[in-house]
Amino acid sequence: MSSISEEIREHWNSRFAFIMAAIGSAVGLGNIWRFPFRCYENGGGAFLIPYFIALFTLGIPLLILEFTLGHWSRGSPPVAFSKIGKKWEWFGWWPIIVEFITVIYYSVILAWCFSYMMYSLDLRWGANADFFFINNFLGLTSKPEILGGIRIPVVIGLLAIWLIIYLVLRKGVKSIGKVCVILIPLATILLVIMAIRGLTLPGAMEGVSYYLTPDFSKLGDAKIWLAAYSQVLWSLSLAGGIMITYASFLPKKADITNNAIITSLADAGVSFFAGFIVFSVLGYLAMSTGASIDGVVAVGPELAFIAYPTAISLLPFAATFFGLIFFVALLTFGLTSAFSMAEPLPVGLNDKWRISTGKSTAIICLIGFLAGLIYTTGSGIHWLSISDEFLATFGFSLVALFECLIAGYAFHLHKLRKYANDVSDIKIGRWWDVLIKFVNPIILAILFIMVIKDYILEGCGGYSTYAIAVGGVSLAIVAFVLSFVFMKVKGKEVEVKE
Amino acid sequence: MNSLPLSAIAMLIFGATVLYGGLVYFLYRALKASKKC
Repeated sequence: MSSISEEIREHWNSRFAFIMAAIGSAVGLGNIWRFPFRCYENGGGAFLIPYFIALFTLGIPLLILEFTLGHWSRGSPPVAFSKIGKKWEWFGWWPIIVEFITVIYYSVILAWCFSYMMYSLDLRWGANADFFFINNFLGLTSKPEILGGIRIPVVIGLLAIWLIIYLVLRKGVKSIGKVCVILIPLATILLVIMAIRGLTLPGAMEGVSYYLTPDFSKLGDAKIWLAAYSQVLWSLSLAGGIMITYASFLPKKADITNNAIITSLADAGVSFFAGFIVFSVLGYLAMSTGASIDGVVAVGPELAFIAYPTAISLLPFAATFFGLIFFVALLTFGLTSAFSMAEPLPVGLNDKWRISTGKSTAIICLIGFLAGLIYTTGSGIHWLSISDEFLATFGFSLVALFECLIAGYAFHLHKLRKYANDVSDIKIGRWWDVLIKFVNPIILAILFIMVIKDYILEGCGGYSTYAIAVGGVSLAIVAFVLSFVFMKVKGKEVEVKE
Repeated sequence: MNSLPLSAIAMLIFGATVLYGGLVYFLYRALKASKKC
């Protein structure tokens, strides 16, 4: 063995700081702009039944597994998987590289939020938020191959976002904990203010009724169940190496199981609550414009940057204030997720090659900003959709599948269960082994096959093969190859002490 | 429409009980365990 040095691993400030950081990671833009729509299109309130089943059978067990792996290995995913077997180290690098590529375009969406936070001060989108967003703000081109030039407001926003990420991450998890302890309660208060405003608007109950009225006949449709499982998988920051990394900074006697349950319920709780904010405002928008709810309902960027600003412009009073708090809340939840997405790679580099956190964070933030410039062009949203399809949609379900298989079959899963039980207040039984080894791999395999099937049948937004190869396939290949390269390069062995 | 249908209210109570009731219960257990982390 080469010379082994000793290092004391950093710890979270407190249990509260860890839980806030984990919740901050899990709760992101998707909770606000994706969950309410998923609920609406999949049987309204009836969707809660498959969603809760997915939460308790896939979300919580997988989160317990990731917390356990991080805590047991005292290291980032490459360390965790190399402890299972040296040959599995590449699998630890793969998700954190994918997560880093994901934060490159996620930070651009946050840059949009940043710009819109400024625009909300004078409601710059005016009466036609649709035209403003597509033409004035994005300068959207007809296809990805036509770049259309860099959009300066987006670049300024992107620079601000990466600067914030750098300032928070450069001092490690203690700094993330301190920031999340302030930001998460603050964003929650903002959500409550928005909910009160939304629910007191005329037409709000009509909108909420669309969100919650159950259609139980849809429960027989397999697609609803798959939608619930995929929503849980993507909402909880699973399969990206984040939770393994965060848990590796917990002190030796930290609780695992209860922390995982609290994080999962809080994440789902924010999603459920966001539905009231979104649908009350959509109800008001429908009433104000004389349209039906079906006619105004929107998802993703269309909801945040077109439908919601349109409704804000129509508010009878304090439109600027409510516009501002909406984008501040969106930005806050987005930033706490971005911290967690950018964190595993510097930690992984530090664990293997002892590159200082400050230096590796600076390099990674610079690369993130420069690589993100492609998404700030007029064709940025096209490239963003292609990258997201390949990395978030295909990547994470595949990683989660491998994670279950490696932990379940390449290692003694009962040892991990025993480890979690030894430190946790709530004990888990053999049912957890059954879920990780048998039930979840089957569900995740079906999920992956369905995604591939949809892709083959429907294609990727009608984009050209060239665009898909450059914006999607090449990134997936780069992540895969890099994970093997990182495994092969010899690291500096360090013994981690408590 | 000024009020929610009964079925929507039922799903509201169901969702809130599972999520927020569950969250309060597990937070209570965390406090009771008084672990530092």
